[in-house]
Amino acid sequence: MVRDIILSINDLHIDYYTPDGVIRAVRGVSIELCKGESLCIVGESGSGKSTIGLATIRALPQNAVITRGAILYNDIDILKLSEEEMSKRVRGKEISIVFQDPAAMFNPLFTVGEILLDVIATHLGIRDRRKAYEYGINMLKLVELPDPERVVNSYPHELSGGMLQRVAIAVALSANPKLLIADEPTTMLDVTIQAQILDLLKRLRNELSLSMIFITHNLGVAAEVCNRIMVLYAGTLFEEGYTEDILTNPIHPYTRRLLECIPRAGRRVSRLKFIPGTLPDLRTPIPGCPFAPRCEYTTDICRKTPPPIYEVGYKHKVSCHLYQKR
Amino acid sequence: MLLNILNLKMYFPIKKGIFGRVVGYVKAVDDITFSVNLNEVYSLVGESGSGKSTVARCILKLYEPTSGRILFEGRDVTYARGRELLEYRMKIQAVFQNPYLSLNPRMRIIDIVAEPILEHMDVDKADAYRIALELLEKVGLSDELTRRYPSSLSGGQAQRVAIARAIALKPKLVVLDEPTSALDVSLQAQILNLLEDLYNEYRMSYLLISHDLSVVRYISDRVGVMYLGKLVEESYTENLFENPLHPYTQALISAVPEPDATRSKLSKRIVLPGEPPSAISPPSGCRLNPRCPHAMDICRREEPPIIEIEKGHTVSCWLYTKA
Ligand SMILES: Nc1ncnc2c1ncn2[C@@H]1O[C@H](COP(=O)(O)OP(=O)(O)OP(=O)(O)O)[C@@H](O)[C@H]1O
Ligand SMILES: [Mg+2]
Repeated sequence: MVRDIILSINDLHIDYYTPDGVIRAVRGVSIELCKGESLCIVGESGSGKSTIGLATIRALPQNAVITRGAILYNDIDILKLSEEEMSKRVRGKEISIVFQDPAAMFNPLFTVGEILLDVIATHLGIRDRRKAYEYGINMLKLVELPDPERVVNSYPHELSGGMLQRVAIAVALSANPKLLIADEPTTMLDVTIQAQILDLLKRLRNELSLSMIFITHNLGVAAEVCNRIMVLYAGTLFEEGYTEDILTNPIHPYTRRLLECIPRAGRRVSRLKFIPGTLPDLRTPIPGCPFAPRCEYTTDICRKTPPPIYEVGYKHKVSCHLYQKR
Repeated sequence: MLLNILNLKMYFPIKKGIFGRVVGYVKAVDDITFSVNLNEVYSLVGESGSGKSTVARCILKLYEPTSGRILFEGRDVTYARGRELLEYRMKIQAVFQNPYLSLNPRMRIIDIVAEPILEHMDVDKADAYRIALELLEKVGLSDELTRRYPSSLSGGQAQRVAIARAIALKPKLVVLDEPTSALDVSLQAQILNLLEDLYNEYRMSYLLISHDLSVVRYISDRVGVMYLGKLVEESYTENLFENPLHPYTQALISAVPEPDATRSKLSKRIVLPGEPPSAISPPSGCRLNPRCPHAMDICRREEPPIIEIEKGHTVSCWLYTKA
């Protein structure tokens, strides 16, 4: 069983140093991802989703510090690798990432072909231009880009958002990584294009036996692409389980509220629930549960002690004092 | 009827070279007709490039349309100037996606809301500030916040200020252009509830511009669906969502990801191939034809007429012309 785990993140803590103080963005998150699994990290803006994603490929900004925890990819201790080993052995080759805004990832002066050739040369060592070109075209076909011969000679600004995201996926997958991190890859796209990209990612995941960490603030998108969902709040894990369990039987008061916020029927049928208050200030210590100031079930213990993680069902975990007695 | 949009066209010229020679047009809005009733929430939905925001900007008189007419309370305001324009502008207000852009960063919140009241209502300064404070309380902002500057507010709070300012002059129509797109769902829910309360209290109309179908379904009475500058379908909200007729509407609705484990997505989803073509050289005939799974010969040749299928439910598609 242990062999099946491709990524394990253990008690990860990450701080950002800013002129206004130290932001404790990730506060003890653990993740276990099995081969072939797709896990969605869901949370509101600022909950620390991207920070976890960036840490996993060691691409955090300069002002970030990992203060505690470990990230193990297969048997590689990611946080102990030198930068050189990381870029040679892991980044792109074992673990790849795609972002919300693919345009920001590409140098606007290079064509899609040049970008692809570069990745193919560095990661696969294919230096023969003809072979590399063919390989590149095949990658573009893999992501279902129409007219790959034209796309290969295009500059990023000549492509639409949806096409560019396909290129980004092709680039990310060109060295055959086993784990793909997708950070809000469809957030900037229109719904019908989003649907295409989600379908593509699902197909590729099966065909290439990829494991995936999918980051989104949209529970609908999460439900669509992933078999497991993890709900993050203020850098803390609140609930985790199989997608169906999270959607049909949410346990944490925050998860429940989050689901109720989503507008579904007409306004004459029901009024929308909302979550009063705001996210806690991540610069201050949070002694108890970070949701305590906004939660309708808060008791004394919630304000004082951080809740432990309870197992409430098969692979269904929740971090909430309410479940102490069960 | 409050607002009538008749055969509205908005073409933007594409200029080239140092002499600015016009080499073509972006047909952002191409012959659109619809109306918004008194005390109604009407939504225009569509994806980027469909022209929905351009329609809003024409109505707000930020653009002068290429052709067509805009009637407000029965009066033609398409080319309104001077006094007439001023009166129109007081009755119609707007809330945009990014509230920070529409709030003067150098003014305090309370001044921002009091400004239009002082300027346009016949009240003294003390009264104007009293009214402004009431409005800010109504949209849920605490007294302490009203003396701050916009930059120190969160996105949700700033949007509340924009809403308070928009309703200050008791407008007849508020144009909401993606008002919650930049907000997290929990904040979005608060803003939608607020909009509903204000709607009930002030008896105004909303014209909502949005790409988010769940928001549209939640808040609107009627919906118009736009694709590449055209209105392809229009109906009462539940009708449209339960019984979408146009292939584009069907695809759009089926593409919305919902957090619903029981809905078996794969069987229901209609994925349109490709992406919308450019509005510079739209396809001839029906604009959806290159992507439409039902495209027939006539769809490539001729523009479909607008057909009323049932009361208030119209569609522009050759599939529904009687054989
Ligand atoms: N480079 C940075 N410097 C300082 N603080 C940062 C930096 N990047 C992120 N943060 C802070 O860390 C916290 C977590 O941010 P993160 O970007 O991981 O959240 P997120 O869940 O991805 O949010 P979003 O949905 O908005 O993308 C936030 O409070 C954010 O302001
Ligand atoms: Mg992020």
